[in-house]
Amino acid sequence: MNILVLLKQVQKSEEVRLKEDFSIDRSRGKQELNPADKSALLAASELRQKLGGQITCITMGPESAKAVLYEGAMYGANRLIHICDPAFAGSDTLATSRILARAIERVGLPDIILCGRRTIDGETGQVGPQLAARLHYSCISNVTSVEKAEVSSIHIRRLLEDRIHTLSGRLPLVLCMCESNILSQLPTLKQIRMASSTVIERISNQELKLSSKEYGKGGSPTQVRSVQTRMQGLRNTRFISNLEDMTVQICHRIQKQEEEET
Amino acid sequence: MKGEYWVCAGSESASALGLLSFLRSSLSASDATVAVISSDSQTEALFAAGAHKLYAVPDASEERLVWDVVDLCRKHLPVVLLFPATIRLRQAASQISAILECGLCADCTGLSLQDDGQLLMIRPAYGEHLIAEILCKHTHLQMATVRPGIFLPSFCYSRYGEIVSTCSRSEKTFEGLITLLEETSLHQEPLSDSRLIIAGGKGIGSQGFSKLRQLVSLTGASLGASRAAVNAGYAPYCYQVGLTGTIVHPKTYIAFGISGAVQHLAGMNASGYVIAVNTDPKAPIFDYADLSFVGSWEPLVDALIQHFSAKQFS
Repeated sequence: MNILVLLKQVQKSEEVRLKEDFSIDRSRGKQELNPADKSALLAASELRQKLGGQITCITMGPESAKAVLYEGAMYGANRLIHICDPAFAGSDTLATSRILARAIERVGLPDIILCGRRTIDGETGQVGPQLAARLHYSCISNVTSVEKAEVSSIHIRRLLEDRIHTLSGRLPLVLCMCESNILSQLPTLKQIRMASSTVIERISNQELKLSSKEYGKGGSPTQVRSVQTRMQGLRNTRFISNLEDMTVQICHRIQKQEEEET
Repeated sequence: MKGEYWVCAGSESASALGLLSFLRSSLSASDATVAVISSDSQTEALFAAGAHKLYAVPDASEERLVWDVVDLCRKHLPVVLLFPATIRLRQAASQISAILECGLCADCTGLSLQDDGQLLMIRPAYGEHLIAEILCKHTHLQMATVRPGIFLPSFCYSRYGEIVSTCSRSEKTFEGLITLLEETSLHQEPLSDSRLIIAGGKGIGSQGFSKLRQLVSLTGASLGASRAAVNAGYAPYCYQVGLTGTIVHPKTYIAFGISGAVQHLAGMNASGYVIAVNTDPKAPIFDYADLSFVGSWEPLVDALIQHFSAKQFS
């Protein structure tokens, strides 16, 4: 089975700093693999244990994004692809999914694509389903686990707002994975050493041959008109020191809300 | 302004009503048409909330809904297409945007229609650190998913409209692609829609969570949990509040024993009123709370349980 995992390098959420033009200052702050992409990686390595095959990791981003590919290799990826071209900067999800689709067609269409359900920076959750539509794959978002895997179909659990669905999906398929709280086994020293010697294949627009209307700002219909920083926190909390008073306050609040809503 | 302004409700009509009312009132002085795409057989509320027109699609698979909406858009060329940002419709919206090559703004918390018919979309980003205003340019159709509960519906039950039945693709094309094998209810209102959330952190332990469950059922609240509490196994993942769980915006959020990791704060800071209880006076959650109590959760939760059970039996 050919498994493809989409990875994205994001700024650690604790460390988001803004430049004066409100863009994210990526020179400071630590970068990490997007948390939900880690689940995709773990699911991929489980799938391969059951069915055999290859895992390809692909990422799009600046030079530093190579780090997440090496992380993919530590979890067993055989092939690493880095889409890296300054011209692609500023792409929205529509343009990003277009670039990814073109790159994936070039490196070979997999049986299954795994990705995170959303990134902690943009939080749109759009790229996975958009990519599925472009490649004519079925798509299931918000997947919490893979239950059973066969050569032509796969059983998964999907978390919806008020229920959990167990679904069977026919391949080829895109699965957008929820963040998982399962701690994975740390890679061994040998795995780390092997990972860092894995070759990264680089792809730029020279290979993809997209027109300038298809990527970057020019290929992105959604445009940010303005950005404001929100005053975080600072709600001017009122401290209550007495237990009875606090109980009364909470009761009042709940009752008042009940009355307002009925 | 002319043309058609659409809301795609699919089988989730209830979440779409507020969007219909928003479009109807924003377009009241124009010739524009508000339409809804729905598979619901109960149509009164959709018209009462603001639809002039209803495109009836079959109650079928999500993959089929995607193609039915694509076909409708290609035929009728709407100007705007909105979706309630539910898990299933967010996925469908993304797929539709890629097929139609149209811009899609995710998870908006505000919308306004400009005089030139452009839709100004407002959404938080980077864990609610930023509020961005977004326009959708150069495509004939502007699309957005909008957080449920942002626009409240207003009903006028004398209104009724036209029902257009659509019948495009054969169900056979979609057969067997994705099949539902089993459905388990979570027995709780969706956290993302909840008006009152009572949440616990790791520190309150499994005993604490069983007390919170009691309090939740007495008050009609929804249960929430921090990531650390979910990791510790005190509550399943579906109750996790935060960027890596569910992003919530209840009217009231009560946090017991949650210190306030950044990813948690970012997921609950849109709440109307926040009450925090923690033993650590330096816990970051206090900066994000309106009312705070430094101390143990237990006597407080016990007193609240006592109060609300007495009220129930009185």
